[in-house]
Amino acid sequence: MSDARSAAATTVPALEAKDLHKAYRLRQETIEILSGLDLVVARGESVAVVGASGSGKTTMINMLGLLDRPDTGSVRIAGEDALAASGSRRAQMRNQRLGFVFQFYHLVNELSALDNVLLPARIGAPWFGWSARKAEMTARARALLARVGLAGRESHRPQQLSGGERQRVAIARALVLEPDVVFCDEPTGNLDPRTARGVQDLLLEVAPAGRAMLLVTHDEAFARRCDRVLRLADGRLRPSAADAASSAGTFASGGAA
Amino acid sequence: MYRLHLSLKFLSHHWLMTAIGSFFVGASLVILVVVMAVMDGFQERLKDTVSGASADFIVTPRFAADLDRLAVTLKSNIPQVVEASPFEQSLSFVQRTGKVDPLEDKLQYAQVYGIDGWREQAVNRFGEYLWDRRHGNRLTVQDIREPFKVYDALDAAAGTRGVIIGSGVRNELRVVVGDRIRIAALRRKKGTGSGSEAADYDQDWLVFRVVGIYESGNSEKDAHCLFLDWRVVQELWSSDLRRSSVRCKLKSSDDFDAARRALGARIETVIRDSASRPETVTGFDAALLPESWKTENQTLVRAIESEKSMILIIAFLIVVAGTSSIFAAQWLLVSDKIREIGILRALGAGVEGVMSIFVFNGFLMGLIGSVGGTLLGLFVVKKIDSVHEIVKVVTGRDVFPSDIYLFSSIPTRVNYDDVLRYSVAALFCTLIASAIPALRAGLMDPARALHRE
Repeated sequence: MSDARSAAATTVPALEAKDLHKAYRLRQETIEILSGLDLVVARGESVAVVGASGSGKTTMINMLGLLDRPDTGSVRIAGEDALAASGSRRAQMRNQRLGFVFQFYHLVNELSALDNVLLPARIGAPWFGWSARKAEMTARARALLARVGLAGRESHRPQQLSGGERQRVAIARALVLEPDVVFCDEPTGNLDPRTARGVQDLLLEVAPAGRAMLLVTHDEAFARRCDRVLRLADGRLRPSAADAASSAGTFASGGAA
Repeated sequence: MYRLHLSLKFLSHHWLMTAIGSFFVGASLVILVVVMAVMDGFQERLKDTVSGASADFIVTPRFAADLDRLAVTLKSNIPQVVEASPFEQSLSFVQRTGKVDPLEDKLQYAQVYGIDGWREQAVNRFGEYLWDRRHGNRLTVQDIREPFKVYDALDAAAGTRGVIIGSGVRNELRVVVGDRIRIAALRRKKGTGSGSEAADYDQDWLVFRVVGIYESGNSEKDAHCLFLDWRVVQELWSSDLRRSSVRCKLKSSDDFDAARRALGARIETVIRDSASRPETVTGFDAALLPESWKTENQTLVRAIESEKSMILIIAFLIVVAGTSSIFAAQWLLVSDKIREIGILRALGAGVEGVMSIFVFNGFLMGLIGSVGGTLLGLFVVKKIDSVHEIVKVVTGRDVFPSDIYLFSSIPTRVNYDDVLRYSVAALFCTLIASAIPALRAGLMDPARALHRE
């Protein structure tokens, strides 16, 4: 990390969203999903978002993860205005500043576990610059796979791994470029309780180290293990009842929403 | 280089799709390479046949010329000319002699060619086209230095001259070498001045001995040609019913334009040295018409070229149809990989990056098909006669009857520059065919692609 980035890290939030609005139009009907969503996530902080099905959690992750554009509002990633950036710059920001862990793992079946973890690094490398970085990135990817408990499974393809193992590969992939924010969209939603617990432990152990984590989940117990819990309802984020009581000061100061 | 990396991964993991896409490109290229090689072979053989019966450079004077002197003059004044031979051309009728069956023995129209046999075989392939069909021997003018000489003592005593007839004439007249035929010589009646009425001409039926058969493979020519000694034609046909020329062999058949320019530069010398009466050659008469076998057979040459162009277009449409398999394969691949496209976009791949993966993929399919198809096509061309035999056995039909095409083997000619062009064009088509599915992939909404059920 550069000195400037280190200095900025101390003051600038990893993720900041202001007044996000998003509506979908279905024939004559307009369905407003996000209506003035505000969120600030500091570096090193883990934030869980809970909400009923259809409340807009995935839409929110798409907006914050720069996969879709809100109708209005602003999103800043490590202080940079993401919505004012060009398409290629947003792609670059997704590559270098954001990491994703999805419910259904979303690994590329044609690639081995190691290649899946290396994929963001390959994408981010310049046209003929990969060979220069390959050794360093491969070592890092191997170390990450070892850290998530998959040492010796590098050459296995996703079909040869269990659900929990695939999710561990996805976590390693999300972290390989040391992003500012890791988005986790129902990361344990497709796993049995025991495996889910292991993945939760891993995420909480490795993801927030020096970076922000935004977790979307239905699992209230998992959510409570994060620094803060927010509830998405009516297109806005509010502190969940339990969280509000324990961290009223933080929200009152406007630091989160 | 994740683009190439993923392209290769998709290519190897979806090998059936790759094989289908590559197969159709390859098959279409096999068709293109083989068809064009056979077409080029046919054309070359046909042009050989036509040019073999004609000449590289044909000079026809408008003035009364001594053809012997004109031939010598052209050879000495035009550097491109390596040999020159006098040539007379006229029209006639021909019939077999003896008892004539009115149902079978028709009066045949004939083109009469007056040549110097010895010099003619140096100008074109006259010698190669001569046959003694009675004995089945292929004769050359070199073997028979005097091709029109009659060896029958009685003929010689009676002044009967020899004639070489086309194979088509032989078939129509039902004669063989050694038989006699009647040829009508057309001469202007004495004292008719320059009149051109039928009554101004006499028609003399003269008997000739068949001394050889001419078969060039050009059925039109073989059906109507009679070759006589050029001096005999000059003697028996009036000058206003003849076209007198000198036919030349050039160092290279491509030298025509250079030879024409050289002739233009020395035209006065050529006229002065070859005209029977140089002092009378002025103004309109002082002209020499240079032609080649191409200009002489302009319609045929153009027909051949347009036929080749048509077949090239048709064969290329087959390649376009073949490359559409790449389009279909890529479209299916993109449909199958929507979620992966979403993943790539989420991980930071741009529109161009995702597009490149599928363009590379289609290009690699096309490359496999192009290289494989080209090599297989060249192999088929090399083994065309064996392939022809197999096709004959499998289908029970002879698709290339040698008695119709007059060639004992299928003629082929591979132009490697053209083959390279076909391959590159096929690759270009695969790029275009891949571009549309690739564009679809690139422009896909990443959020929707990622959450596709």
